[in-house]
Amino acid sequence: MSKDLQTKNTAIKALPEVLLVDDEPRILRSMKAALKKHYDIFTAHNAKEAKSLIKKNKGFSVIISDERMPDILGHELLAWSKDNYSKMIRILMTGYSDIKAIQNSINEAEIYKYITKPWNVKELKSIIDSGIVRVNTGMQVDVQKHDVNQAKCALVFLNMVDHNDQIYTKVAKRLSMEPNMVHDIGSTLLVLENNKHAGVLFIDDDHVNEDTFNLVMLIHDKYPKIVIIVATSAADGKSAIKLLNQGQIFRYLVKPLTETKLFPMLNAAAQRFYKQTTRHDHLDGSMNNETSGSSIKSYWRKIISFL
Amino acid sequence: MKPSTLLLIYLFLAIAGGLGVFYYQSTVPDNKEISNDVTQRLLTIDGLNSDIGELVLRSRYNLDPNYDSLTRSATLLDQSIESFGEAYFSTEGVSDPMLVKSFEKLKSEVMIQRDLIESFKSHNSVLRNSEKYAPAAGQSLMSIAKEAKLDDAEQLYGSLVRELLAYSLLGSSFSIEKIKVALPQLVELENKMPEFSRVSMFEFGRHIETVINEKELTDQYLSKVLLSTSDSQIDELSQGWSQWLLSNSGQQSFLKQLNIAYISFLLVGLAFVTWRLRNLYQHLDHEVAVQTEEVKKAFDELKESETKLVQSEKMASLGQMVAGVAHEINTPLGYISSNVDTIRLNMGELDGILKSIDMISVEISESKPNTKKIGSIVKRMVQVYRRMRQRETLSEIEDLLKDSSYGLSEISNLVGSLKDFSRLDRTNAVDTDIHKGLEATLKICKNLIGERKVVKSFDHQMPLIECMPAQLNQVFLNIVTNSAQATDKDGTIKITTKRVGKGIEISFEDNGEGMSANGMKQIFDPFYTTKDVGQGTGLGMSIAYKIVKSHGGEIKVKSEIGKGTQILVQLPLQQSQAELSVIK
Repeated sequence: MSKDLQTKNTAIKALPEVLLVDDEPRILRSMKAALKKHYDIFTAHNAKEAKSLIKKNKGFSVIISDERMPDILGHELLAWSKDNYSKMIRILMTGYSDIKAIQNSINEAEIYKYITKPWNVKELKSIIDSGIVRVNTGMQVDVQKHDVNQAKCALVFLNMVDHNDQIYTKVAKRLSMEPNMVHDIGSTLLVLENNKHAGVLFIDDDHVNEDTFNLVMLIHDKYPKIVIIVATSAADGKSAIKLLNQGQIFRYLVKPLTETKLFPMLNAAAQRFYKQTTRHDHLDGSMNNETSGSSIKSYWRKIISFL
Repeated sequence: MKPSTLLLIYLFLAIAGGLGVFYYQSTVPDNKEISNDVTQRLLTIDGLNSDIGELVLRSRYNLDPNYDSLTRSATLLDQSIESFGEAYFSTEGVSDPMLVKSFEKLKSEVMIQRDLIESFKSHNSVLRNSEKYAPAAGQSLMSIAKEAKLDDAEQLYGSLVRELLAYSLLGSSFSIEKIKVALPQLVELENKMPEFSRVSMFEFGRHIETVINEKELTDQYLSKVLLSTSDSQIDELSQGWSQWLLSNSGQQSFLKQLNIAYISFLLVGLAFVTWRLRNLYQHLDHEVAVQTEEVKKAFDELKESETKLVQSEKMASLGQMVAGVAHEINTPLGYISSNVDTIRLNMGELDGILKSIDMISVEISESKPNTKKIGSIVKRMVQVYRRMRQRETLSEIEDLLKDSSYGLSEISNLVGSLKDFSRLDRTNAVDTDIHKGLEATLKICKNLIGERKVVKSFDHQMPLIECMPAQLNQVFLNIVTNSAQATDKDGTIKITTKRVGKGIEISFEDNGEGMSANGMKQIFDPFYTTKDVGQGTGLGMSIAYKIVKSHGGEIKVKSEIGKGTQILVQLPLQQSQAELSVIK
């Protein structure tokens, strides 16, 4: 953020800036009316308007976009903003959960959350707030490449199907990363507990159910640095949304998968892990350096636990 | 043991038994035939034998002028005996010794008889000759004696002739005595009688002599022929035959029993085969029944699965419809519910003003109103109001309410379209405004159509047509869906309706990817689909085809790759009741 903007924001009590994109003006009006007390709301009726607003404002804290729009699909706009303004928290909103759109928004736009219409104002607000916390703590800030600590990254494969073990081992070897093959939830937790370098959890599960959700949530809670990928042959929109919104999964993959697909994807996951680790280390460091009172310390702690 | 081995053994026994019986039958003579033949032959022989006796007598007494008949009969008898011998007593004939002996006896008897007949014939000829010429010679001697007036001589000659004939023909012993007495007198007469009669006299004397000699011999032969034992020999042979045949009947009855046994054996085999065949048929019947049942089951299953597929196609289009409608409804629903929340929050601010008014009204109702207090309340009220106006809360509430009622009308429109589209309340053909169905379909497809341009060129004088609206809407939905999926995001779908003759025509044109000639040919085939697996059942257009056909209409396709597709639906104004079969 430029200094000008920062001073400007500070001047008007510095409400977080949120951009709403929807082709239906009534939705924009309604959301603005509901949210304007808490945020500085910007609205755009289409992708063109949205893009020019983003460029003009040099990004927003949060962008919430509708999926189905005349000129562009919401996840395409969000993917564009990810590539150009990666700091922005990306939230997708849609009236109809179509698995393809959900998959694309997770895998291509790497959205933060997925909101279904009709929305609940309170929930919407809490999601936006949690996103803003990420922005304010610098979690969204790109860590410079040279800063990234390319430490060890162990891969954990929770394979719930009878086959595929060989492929996973092979890909891990190609990535020269340590593969840990487990076949049930208990041993997964055990491996994560004991392996300090565990960075990516790959779950291959054809029957995504409550157990899977609980595991993903638990791991996201306990090991926020670990990057989670879910692969399934039974793609389902609802469970994908749940995995994203509650477990912040990195990828939602629909099988069959090939080695060539898997390789760059796991690599990206590892890179993500390195970045997050670096950030956490950085934040931890700054927390320890900070001596100006316990209130700030507890604030950081709160932020970290929130993540 | 295997049934086939048993059958082979049985067949072998049947053939061997048949051959055995046949061979045995060939060794046993046929009694009846032989009996008939032999009886016939014996009768012929017996008859010929009798004939010979008669003919011999006839020859002796000059009834037959010659021996032709006798010779013929004798020859015939010979031949009969010969052929009889050949037929039954040759090497392969009857071997019964008694019978053979009896036959040989008969044969030799007949031979002897034949010799006798020959002897008889020669002697009889001589006798007959003399019998014939003696009277003539006597006659001439009598006339000579008469001329010479030798009465005694004449008388002697006359009586000699008479007695000679009587002796010769009747065999009278009295006559021979007379002749023997007269013979010396004849010698005496030789000298009395004239010279010229001496030759005649000699002849006469010779004839008499011959007659006397030959008569004896001839009669001897005759009696020998007549007394021949051939008759009894024939009887003997006949009896022999009867006995032999009787003895044969034992063999015959054994053959009969053998035949019966063999036939029984064959019957048992036949019964077994029949039984096996019956079993086989029963088994076959059972098999056929089972197979038929299976085929029927498979057919039923096929029918059921077809019904299920049609149902699943309906569900698929329903799902697609629901997806589109859900989005359409969720959008207004989203902002309405959000608006209600916001308005409620804003009402909190108005609440302060209302409370202030309440306080003022309480203050005013006092006997001595505190104007200062009222003033401060009003001031606060105005402050709140100004803040609200500054924030545009009131106009915002107004806007939100307006939006909400718009949203509600959107939802109610949509629900109306759904109702129009499904028309589940109608199961019979009713007069329908086809445009309503098209509009409802377009509304339902709105989400799918997206930004594609829809050009509606509707005939405003379109009559109502008799149809099943829900079914036709399914057709429209299918066609519009296909058009939308075949066109780019900025494509165009043109829908034209017009009245044509006794019906109407609805044309759906798009500028999409079009399809090949092959695709056009197969478009109405069940399970033909160009969509990805899981995207379509491939039944949509085939069901559309069925529906239009059941309405007595036509559905045609015209398409060019890269240019677009036109689907033409033609429907009659009225339904003939028979044609409108319900598609379930």
